[in-house]
Amino acid sequence: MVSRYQVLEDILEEVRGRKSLVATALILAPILSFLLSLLVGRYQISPQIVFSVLISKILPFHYDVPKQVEIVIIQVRLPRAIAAALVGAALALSGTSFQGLFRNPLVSSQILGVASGAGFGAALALLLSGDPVIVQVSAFGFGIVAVAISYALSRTYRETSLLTLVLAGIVVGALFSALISLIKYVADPYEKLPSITFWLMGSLSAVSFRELTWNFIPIVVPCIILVLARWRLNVLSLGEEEAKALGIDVERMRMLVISCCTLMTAAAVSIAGMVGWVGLVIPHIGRMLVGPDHKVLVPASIAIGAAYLLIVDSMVRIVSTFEMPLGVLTAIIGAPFFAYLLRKRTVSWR
Amino acid sequence: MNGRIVVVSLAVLMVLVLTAWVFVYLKPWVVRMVALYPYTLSATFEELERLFERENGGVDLELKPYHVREELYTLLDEGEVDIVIAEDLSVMEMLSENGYVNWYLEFATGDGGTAYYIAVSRNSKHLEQALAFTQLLLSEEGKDVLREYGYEPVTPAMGFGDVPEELREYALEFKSVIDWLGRRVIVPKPVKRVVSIVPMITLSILMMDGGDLLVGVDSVSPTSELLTKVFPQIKNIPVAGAPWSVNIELILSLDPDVVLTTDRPMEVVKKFEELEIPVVIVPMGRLHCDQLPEAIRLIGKVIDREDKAEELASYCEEKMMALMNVTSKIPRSERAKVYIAISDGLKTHITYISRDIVWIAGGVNVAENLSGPAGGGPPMAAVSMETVLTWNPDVIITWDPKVKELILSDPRWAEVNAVKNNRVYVIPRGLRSWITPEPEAFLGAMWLAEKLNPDAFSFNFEEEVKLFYHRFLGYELSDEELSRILSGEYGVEIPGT
Amino acid sequence: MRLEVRGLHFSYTPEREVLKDISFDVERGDIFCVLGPNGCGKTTLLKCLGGILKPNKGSILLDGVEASTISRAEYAKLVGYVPQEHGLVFPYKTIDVVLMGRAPHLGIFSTPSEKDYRIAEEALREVGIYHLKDRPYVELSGGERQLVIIARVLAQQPEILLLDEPTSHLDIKNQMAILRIVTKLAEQGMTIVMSTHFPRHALLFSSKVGIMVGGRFIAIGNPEEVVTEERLKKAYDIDIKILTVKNPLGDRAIKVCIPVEALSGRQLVGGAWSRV
Repeated sequence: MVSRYQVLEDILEEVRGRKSLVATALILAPILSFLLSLLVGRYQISPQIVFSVLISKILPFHYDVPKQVEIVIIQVRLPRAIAAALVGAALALSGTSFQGLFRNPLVSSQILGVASGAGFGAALALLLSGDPVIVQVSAFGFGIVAVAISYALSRTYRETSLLTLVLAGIVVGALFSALISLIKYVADPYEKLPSITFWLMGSLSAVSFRELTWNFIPIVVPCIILVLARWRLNVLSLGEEEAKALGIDVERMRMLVISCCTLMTAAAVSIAGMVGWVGLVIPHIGRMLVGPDHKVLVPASIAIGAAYLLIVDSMVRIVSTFEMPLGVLTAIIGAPFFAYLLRKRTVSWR
Repeated sequence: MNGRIVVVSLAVLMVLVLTAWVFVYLKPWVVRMVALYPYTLSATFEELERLFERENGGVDLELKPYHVREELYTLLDEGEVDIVIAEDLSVMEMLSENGYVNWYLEFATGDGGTAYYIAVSRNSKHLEQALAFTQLLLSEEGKDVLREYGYEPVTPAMGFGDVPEELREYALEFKSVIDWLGRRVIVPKPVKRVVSIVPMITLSILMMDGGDLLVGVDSVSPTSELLTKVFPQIKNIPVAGAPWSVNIELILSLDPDVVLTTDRPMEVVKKFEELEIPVVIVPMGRLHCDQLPEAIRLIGKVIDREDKAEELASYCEEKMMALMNVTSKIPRSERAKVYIAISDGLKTHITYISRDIVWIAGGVNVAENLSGPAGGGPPMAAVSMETVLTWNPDVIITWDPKVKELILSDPRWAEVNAVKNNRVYVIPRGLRSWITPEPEAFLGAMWLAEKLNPDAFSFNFEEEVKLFYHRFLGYELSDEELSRILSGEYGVEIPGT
Repeated sequence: MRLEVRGLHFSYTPEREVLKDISFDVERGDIFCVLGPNGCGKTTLLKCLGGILKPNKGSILLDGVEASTISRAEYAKLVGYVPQEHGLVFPYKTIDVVLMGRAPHLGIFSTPSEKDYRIAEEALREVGIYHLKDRPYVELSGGERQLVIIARVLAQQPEILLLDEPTSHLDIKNQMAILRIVTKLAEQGMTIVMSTHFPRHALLFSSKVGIMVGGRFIAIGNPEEVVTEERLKKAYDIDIKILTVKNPLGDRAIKVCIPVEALSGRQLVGGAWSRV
């Protein structure tokens, strides 16, 4: 039977066959998109100047450019590109981990309510204070609180079952979404409400090195832990009983994965706001390219996630004078792709 | 002899016949009254005529039907008319404007919601009888006739204009107002119970001394710190919500004479219309600066504070003109580039008012070409740091002190002209921020003009603000309050605290 | 390794005990076959032995060491469990599935080494499906999958092997393949506990049989003595005849179980006999 996706299938088959090619592409993609994202923007600077300034920062030679140009490259574009890469990697990785942990390719990093919790934290802080520092801290904190509540709720039985965990996550997510609506309801529509709305749609436009330094550790440390423990995700994805029979302390392993994912996602959301679909779609792209083995899939997800968000954020910056919300664009690109995957589900899972 | 008798008899007979003719046909003691009415009402009015003439001997009502309104105007011009009946409020308004009538009443409605109006001509020579006919029309007898012919009498009738004493027992007084969208809205006169669900409208009402009419207010106003001091009663007025989250049931229970709101979302307006709550639309949020005085006058008209509204509106116009006289001469290229910073500094206001005020003050808003999302979206746009750096504004005005602090402490802003030249200012905030579309915006324009061109303007600004509060809000600002206004420190209280 | 079970009780809910006072021993190299009808508690027993379920009462001793004192990873090095059903969501390659058997031997932050790969490949060869190494597990047939899971448990290198109905859903050829491997493993010194529906398998392949009814053993011991017509009737609630058939290839007679209904003339569907 010749499927209408046959051509694509063939290409993918071809690609799968050439492991080294895929590996090279996966290493190069984030690097190239990182460089690309340093080159584009509203402020006109030639690539040559961009690179010269960057190199002059690393190597000891002096390159004379107007102070403002330097600010654009070093203070504006660089942190933003780093943030896009970190956030993309964090969301993709936690999506991959959760899909493995929950043995369900339809869950994403938000399944335990972290995004709703963080959204609520941010909205609350925007309502009460508006200070970006407090907004970030509050988003991060409430993101973790939401997952803690989900986990605590599911623990009411003798042990945590995945199903109760997912249900608890849905409940907590719904609760915090309702609280977000409540805040939007009471917020002054001419002053506070737009800020909240913008935040919830996600953006990297305000990222500076200050935000990055706070969020670097909660993203990078869990990331390293998950990369190291990635093979265990294979075993976890067999299900609770088999994993237990294979000598895994399922409860503790789950706790570890959930903690890592939560820290990463909460930090990512507190930098970028609600950026959906990355954590859902990237793992599938990864599986199409390198297969389901988490040993390879985890690093691949990190690379693809980082590259994806870097490219989308570059688009955000070029498209218009005002900032298009990042979350909107990731959804516009992510949703149709996911629809394709749903139709063609044998590609990546049974 | 005989012939004489005959002649005399004939003469007498003739006189008698003549007299009889005069008496029988001309009836000099009979009052003749002319009524113009749409021909569709013929049967009804013939019945009413009989009824009227039976009860009022000596009055002859002459009925003149017309087919189109042009015919009505011709008939009015041709001769004396005592009573005019019309099918449309606009006809009556036209007659009223042209001085034919001083008042009119809606007395019945017919198929398809047609409303019928009656008015007595201002020049009527038979005022008493004309009023008597109107009374008959409004009485139970008259209503029975109307019902008999399939019309629904309006009880009590709705009076517009100076309804005469004799008719007051039959009618409630109303006025019709054309709102900002050109909708004709009929509201009681005088208006006694007003609901405003838009903060800027609420403020305007307070500034024209209409606070005592408010029975329901928007959800935002009671959270303004200064507002609760200037008008403490606001805490006791039920909160009716906001345009997008309106508490319809509460508003129904408040039994308002009129609700003032904006047209977004329109569904809410539709809902009010369905519930037959008079709703006047004044879209304050998206008005240009020069439209504000008109909006203020409209609000004044709705709440019967025309004089106060006029005073407020002309104050705004004067201030605007005074600034424009100087600033309109500044060419675009010489204007200071102004950036309005909100939230994290990378959001900017994109309402008309925020562009207009900067322009009137002699600057140019760098974001003037940005348009926000269409429809009811936020009046804000997000911009990137690079865009701001490209604009390189000469002056930054910030929404609150926190944004200013943020900008000054962030190295990315350090090379922006405004920061380098120490020209980052916090927008003053009185009852609301001074660049929101309400009368205080003109104080905002003056404030900004002084900041942009300190040489060109030297008014005693502090006095001006105190005077404004004294004149329009009856409130004596203390020096401390004044300095808090000017430093933008008045926050918005958190709802519920 | 010697496996002893003493007074084991288990219940999912307090009202209903699934396992009641289970006690038995299995010696090194023994094949202990647990016979019994559906729902009698065979799977639950194996899960308790595999450390997946915690018994409410009683003890499990591995060479005299109390199981609950052994850490999970250590336990998994000693006891391997082949579940009856296993659902895989992701289409892992066969070799990857087998590699997962190395989990108890690897630290939390390690990935399989060359050595682990060799062990996994060896396990695949041992069960005779090395050629399926790179095929996705989900595309394999039922028999092949069962072999993969057995390969996985071999890669785990346990001393006690628990198999939950390893031959169900399989055709005769695959049944034999599995039983051949099991027998070979027992000969190599592995202790084997296996549940099955087929009395024939118990009679042919086990060194010890337990018949389980309603959560307790009604008999444990030598297959020849334990598997009797009365006990089978008690267990399965139908009349079963045990026939002794002359072995055409050897001296020892073979015992075969056949339902009486099948003998009494009413024909069952042909193939069904051979399964009993």
